[in-house]
Amino acid sequence: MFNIGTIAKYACTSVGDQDSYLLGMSIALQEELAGILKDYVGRESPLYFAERLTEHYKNCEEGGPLIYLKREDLNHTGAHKINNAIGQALLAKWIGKKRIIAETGAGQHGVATATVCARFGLQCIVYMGAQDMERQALNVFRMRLLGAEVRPVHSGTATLKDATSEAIRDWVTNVETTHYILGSVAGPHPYPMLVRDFHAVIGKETRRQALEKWGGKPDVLVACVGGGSNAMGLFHEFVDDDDVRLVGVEAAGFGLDSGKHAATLTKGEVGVLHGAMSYLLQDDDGQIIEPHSISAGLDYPGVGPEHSFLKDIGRAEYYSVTDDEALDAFQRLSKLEGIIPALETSHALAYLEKLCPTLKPGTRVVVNCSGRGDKDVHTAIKHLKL
Amino acid sequence: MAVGMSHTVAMGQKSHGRDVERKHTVAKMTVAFIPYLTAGDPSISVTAQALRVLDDSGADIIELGLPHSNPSLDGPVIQVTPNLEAPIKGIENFVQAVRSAGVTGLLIPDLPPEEIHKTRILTEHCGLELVLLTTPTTSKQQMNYMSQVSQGFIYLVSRNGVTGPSSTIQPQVENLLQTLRKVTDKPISVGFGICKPEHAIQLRRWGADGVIVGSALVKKLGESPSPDEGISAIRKFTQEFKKVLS
Repeated sequence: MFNIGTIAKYACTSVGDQDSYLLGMSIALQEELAGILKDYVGRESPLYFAERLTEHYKNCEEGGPLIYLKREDLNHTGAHKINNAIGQALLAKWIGKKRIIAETGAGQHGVATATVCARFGLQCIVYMGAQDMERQALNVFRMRLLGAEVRPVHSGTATLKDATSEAIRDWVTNVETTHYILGSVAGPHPYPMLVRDFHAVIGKETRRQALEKWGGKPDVLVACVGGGSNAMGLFHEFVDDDDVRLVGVEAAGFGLDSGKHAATLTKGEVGVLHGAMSYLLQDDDGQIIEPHSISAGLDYPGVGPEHSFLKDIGRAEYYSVTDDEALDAFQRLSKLEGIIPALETSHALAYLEKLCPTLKPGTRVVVNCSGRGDKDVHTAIKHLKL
Repeated sequence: MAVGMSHTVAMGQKSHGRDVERKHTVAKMTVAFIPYLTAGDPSISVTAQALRVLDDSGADIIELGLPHSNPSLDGPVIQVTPNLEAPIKGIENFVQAVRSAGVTGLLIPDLPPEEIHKTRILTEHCGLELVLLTTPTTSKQQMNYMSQVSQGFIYLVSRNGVTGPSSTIQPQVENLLQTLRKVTDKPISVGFGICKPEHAIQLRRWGADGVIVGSALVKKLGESPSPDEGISAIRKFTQEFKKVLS
C-alpha cells in the first residue's frame, strides 16, 4: 500500500541503523495500516461515474469525456487528509514518539491530526495562526473536542505559513520526544516523500478500479493543488504512465493579476521555505507573500517541491481558477450529482469547464474529490444568494 | 567531578586518568567573541553604527543576519519583521555581492548536508568561507563530515531548539566540544542561548574557541528607549564579555 523503503529509511534516520528490525517493523506497520485504513478510515474509496456531470460536458453528437470522481470525501473526517495523518501517527507510535505536533491553516489537517491522536492515545498540539483561529472557530472547537491543544501563533501574518514555522521550531526543540505530522507534501525532507507515499493509496486504488470498471487506465487526472498532497496521492501511481495526463489546479483567488491569489506554480518563483526548495509566492525582497483563496486549504504560499519538479520537466500541467469559478463548480456538483464538494475540490471541478471542451468523446477523466463541503457552507452562505 | 577536571586541563596541566586527547596542550588564553545582529533591525543606519561599535569594542568576528519572514531556527527575539531591501536574486549573484561588500564568511543555517558541496563551489569561487553548524542531534558521522568541511570555524549549536537567551548552558556542550576536538583542529565556536559573562567563562573552561551571542544583543537594541542607548548597551555588553574572555 505504500513504499516500504520510504518508511524504513525515515524510521532509520530517526532511531539509528537497525535495518532488519526496521524492515520487519515496516512490513508489520504496513499490515496494521491497511487494517486501520479499511476499518477506521473506510477505504477503499469509490471511483464513481458522475453521470449527470458527464452529460453536462457532452460536447458533440458522439458525447463527450466521461467524468469519474475518486471519492476521498467519503473517508472518515471527510477528506483525504486522514490518509497521511493515520500513517504518520502509526509511524510515530512505532518509533516511540508520544507527543505529536501539527500545523493547520483552516483546520482540516488539524482536525485530522487531532482525530488520529485520539485514536492512538497520543498527546496532540496543533499550531494555528491567530487570524485563522478567528476565521475557523468551528474547527478550533472540533480539535479541542477531540482532545488536542490548539496554540495560537501571532508571529508574521498569523496564518498557515507562520503556524508551520512555529511547528518547525517546536520540532527542532523537542525532536527527541515529538513527531511532527506535517500536513502536505511540503516542508523538509522526508516529508514531501513520506506524505506522498501515505496518500499514494489514492492512485493505487484508482488504477485497480479503472481496470475493473473499463479494463484500462484513466486518460486525465485532475486534482486541486494547495500544498499538493491530494494531487500527489492521485498522480504518483501514474507518473511513469506517459499516456496519462496529470492536471493540477491552483487557486487564482481574485484573479492572477489581482495580487490576491495562491497560484504558486503559475506566478511564483523558486525559493526556499520550510526546508524545501520549490516555487513560492515572494515579493521583490524575497519575503513570503500572504496568499488568498476563498478556500483556506489552498492558502499556502508555497507548493510541494515534487509538483515544482513535475512542472519543470513538463510531466504535469498546472492551471488555476478564481474564487468565483470555484463557487460555480461548488453549486454545479451539488445540483448535478447531489454531492457538496469542498471549496478546495471545487477548484479541480471548475477546471473541467475549460478542459472538457478540448477532450474527445470517451476520454476518461478522474477528478480527485478530495473533500466534502459541509465545512464550507458558512463561507458559501456569505457569497451565494440561494 | 567533570568540571574540576576540565578546569585543570584548561589551565595547561596534565589531565589525570581521563582519556581526553587534546591536540593543544597549551591553554587557550583568549577566546573569540562573536556577536550577531540582524541587519536593518531597527534600521540600516543603526546597524551600521552598531557594527562599528562592535568592532571598536573588540569583537573578533561579527555575524550579520539577513532577516526572513519565516525563520525556522529563530525564537521570538530575533523573529523581527524584515526591514531590508534585498533585490539580489540567485545564489551566485548573492555570494558575489556579499563578497564585494567585504564579507568574508557565509552561514546558511538550514542548508541541508546534500547541498553543501554545490554551495562550497560557489563560495570558494569568490573567496567566501562557508561556516557549517553542528547540533546536539547531529549524528557522529555527520558531525565528523561537518568538521572536515566547515571553513573559518565550526558552529556548535548548544541545544536542541531555536535562538533565544538561556539561563544555563547545557552540560552536553562540554561532551560535544570534546568529541569534536578529537576529530578536528579547527576553531569551535558555541552559540544559542549565551547571554551572560558566566556562560562565556564556562565555555572557555570547557575548551570553546569562540562564543557567539545573538539574541542577548538584539534584545539590548530592541529594549533600549533610543538607538543611541541601544548602541551604548551593546558597547558595554561587548566590553564585559571581552574582559572575561581575554
